[in-house]
Amino acid sequence: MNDWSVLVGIAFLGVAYGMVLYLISVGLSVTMGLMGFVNLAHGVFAMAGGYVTVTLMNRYGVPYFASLAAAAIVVAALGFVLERTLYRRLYGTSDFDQVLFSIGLIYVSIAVVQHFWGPLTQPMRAPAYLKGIITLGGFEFPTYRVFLIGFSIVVIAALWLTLERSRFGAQIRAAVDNRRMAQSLGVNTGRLFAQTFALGSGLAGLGGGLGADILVTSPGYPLQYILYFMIVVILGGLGTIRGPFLAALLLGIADTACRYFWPQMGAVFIFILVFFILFFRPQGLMRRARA
Amino acid sequence: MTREALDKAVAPRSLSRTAFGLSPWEAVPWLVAFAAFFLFPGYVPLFGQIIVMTLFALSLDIVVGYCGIVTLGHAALYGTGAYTAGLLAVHGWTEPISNAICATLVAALAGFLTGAVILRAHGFITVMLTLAVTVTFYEIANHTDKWTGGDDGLKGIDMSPLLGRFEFDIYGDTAFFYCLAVLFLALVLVRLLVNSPFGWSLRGIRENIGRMHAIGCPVYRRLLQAYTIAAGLAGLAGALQAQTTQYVALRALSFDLSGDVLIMLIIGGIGRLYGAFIGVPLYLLAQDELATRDAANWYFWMGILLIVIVLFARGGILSLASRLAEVLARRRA
Amino acid sequence: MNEAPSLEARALQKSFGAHRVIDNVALSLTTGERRALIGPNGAGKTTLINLLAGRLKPDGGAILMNGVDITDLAEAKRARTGLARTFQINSLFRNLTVFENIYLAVSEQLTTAAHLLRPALAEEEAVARTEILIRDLGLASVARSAVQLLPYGMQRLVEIAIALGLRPRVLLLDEPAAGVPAGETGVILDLVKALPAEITVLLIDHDMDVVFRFAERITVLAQGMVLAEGLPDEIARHPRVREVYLGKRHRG
Repeated sequence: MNDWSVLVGIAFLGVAYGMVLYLISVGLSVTMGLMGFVNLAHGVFAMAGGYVTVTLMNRYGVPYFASLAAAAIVVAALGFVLERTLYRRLYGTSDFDQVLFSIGLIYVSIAVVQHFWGPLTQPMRAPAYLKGIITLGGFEFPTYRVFLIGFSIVVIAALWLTLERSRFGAQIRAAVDNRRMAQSLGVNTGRLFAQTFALGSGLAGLGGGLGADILVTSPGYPLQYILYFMIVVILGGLGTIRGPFLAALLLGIADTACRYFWPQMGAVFIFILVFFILFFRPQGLMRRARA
Repeated sequence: MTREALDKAVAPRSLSRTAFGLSPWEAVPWLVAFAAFFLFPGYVPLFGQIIVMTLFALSLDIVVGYCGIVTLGHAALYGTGAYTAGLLAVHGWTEPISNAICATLVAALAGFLTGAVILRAHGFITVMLTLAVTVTFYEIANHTDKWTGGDDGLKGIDMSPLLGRFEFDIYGDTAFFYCLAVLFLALVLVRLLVNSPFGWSLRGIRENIGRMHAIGCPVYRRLLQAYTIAAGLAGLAGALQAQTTQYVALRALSFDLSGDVLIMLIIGGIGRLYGAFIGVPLYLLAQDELATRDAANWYFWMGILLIVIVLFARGGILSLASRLAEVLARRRA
Repeated sequence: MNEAPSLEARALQKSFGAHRVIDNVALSLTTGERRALIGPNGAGKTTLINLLAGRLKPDGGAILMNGVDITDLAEAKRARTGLARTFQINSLFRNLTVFENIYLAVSEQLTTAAHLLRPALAEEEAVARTEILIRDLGLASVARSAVQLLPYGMQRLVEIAIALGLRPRVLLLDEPAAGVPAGETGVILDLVKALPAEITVLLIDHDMDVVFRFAERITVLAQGMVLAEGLPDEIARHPRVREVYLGKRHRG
């Protein structure tokens, strides 16, 4: 009985973790598939979301949901501005240039954050009504995690609906598939890129705020977690939105399990595992929709 | 053809320019090194560091500049060499040269094994894999702190006198010339490599990998060979650092260091053999002057510099210099 | 006469998604043969070259060179066994000189490309072969210039020179004169006609002038299938071929 609850606990925490990973990574998957841009700095947006949320709550006493919403909006705006001013100059350039640029952006953001907030982790204090424990089916779960999973599902469902039903979503899918074709069909790719980038960043900001206690909010955030986001995207399939969901859940559960059973080396096993996977399937686990 | 196109066509821009012909410019780094030693004796330990970093950056140039592989994990090889040298020394193997050779071989092996996986992928997956390697090595070193000293670092590295006679002392004189000699040998090796058919084929791979496949080049094998050699040289640099500073920090395996040395190389210019010799001293001397107060500030400006370089000055100082030289040559003609 | 065909394709199949691009294509070239491959746009000619050269893997069928099955051989390995190809759109080492472009191929073929410590220019055999190719193709005046500075016609010559640097037994030429200004195509044609007799040559081209002056036999590809194959006269008279293709592009 005890073993069961441990496994269930791990699976549960892993799923919560996976949801957060997905919210943050889905934007990366879409923008990488859409613009072909190697955005190693994507973690910066999640980090920004974490800082905005935590600062609004802790320093200004803004209510939790308002802080989350503000985080999403502020970071979306930040993404929009950065895309229009900097990112778009680098579309089509070499991987090398894009990587360098991303590193530069990471360094700048780490320095800025450290200057204003200091080097320490920002503590995340969930609102009182989300604290505590819920009992479901004989197992006990932290309330906050249950909320996290539920809230994420709602957001993800809304996202999938938008991308699959709306014209905006259709344009994105068309452009990911074939940019030139989409352009000749009258899609304003410039504006589409900016909007998509803003959406992806905003989601990342939301994920950063929601998951501020799982993926801790500190200056080292972008470097610490970019590997996880990249793994989700690679394993899930670049430019897709369903694949990364599965990949994120798997990664979340696997990582939680590894850290629990091997606290010393847990983090490392994930990478070794990914290494082996990529050795045998350099193109990722999921089959790509395109040829 | 227009007049301008003809001019450009006639002025050769080729690999073979540095082939046999030793340009007189190539003596400059060594003259500067000797001059610096005698003119600024108080800075000799810093100069020693610069020399080691130059070797590190030179090895990175092989991977990035000549193979065209973006790596964010070169520090993993550097750190492997450093920890190997340090651990061997701590356990009794204190003869510097053999110690360094051993560390080089271990790093080369590490490069071979990790390269075998990294090179199977392309594009950004490769970048990610290099990052994963460095994080993995870092974590392993962090968690085996009984051996590596973990966060505190590896201490107590006490090397025997070089060649039985020259002690490593706090003045850093022995270290300086030791590292300089090693750097010189490494440069000779890399220069030969770059001008060999092997080196030319690496440039071909960087220029047009598809065509290299089509002409029968065993691309993966070729890149792996180059990567292994570069790994060995990076490990050698790490070993020198461990031997001369008598200390190995966890930072030697970090992404931070990978990023730093990448920036140093880019400032100087990649794929031009001497980019490391320009970028490293500039970066480290500037850092020594400016970064003592505020590390965060330093990274802010480094980030800005990177962004500016990517947007406006891609080839680094050496490419600006060669463009300037071309303009001057045409004005004179 | 029982000698195995120099290059042979059997029942080749290739699909992209649901779209079948190559459908049951068979081809057989004897040593030293001059074969032209023609067909309307989208017939699958370049795809066929890519399959033969190893850039694409077929979904079905086999490819043999001198009787040896090379279907599972990677592109680079096929090049090393003597199969060279050119690209319809130049695939050159743009920032390298003409000399270096050709040298790369020559040194791979000589396997001196693995030499680590000898200067490239000290490899006498490789240098000599490169110089000869440069001279034979009339590129001596621009040998030391970066390829991207050359006029397109000359770049096309470099494109072919690289393939010739491999000393191939089988040469696949994908529209060698494509994109070349009308006045300069003669140079390319002369080059193609002057290729050593022992090399088996498969040539794709749309210019019927070039095709009929070059080919001993012609294969016509349409919609991924072999529509007809035979001597140039037979093809010129073939009703289906005229209908599908020649009728629109007949040389005046």
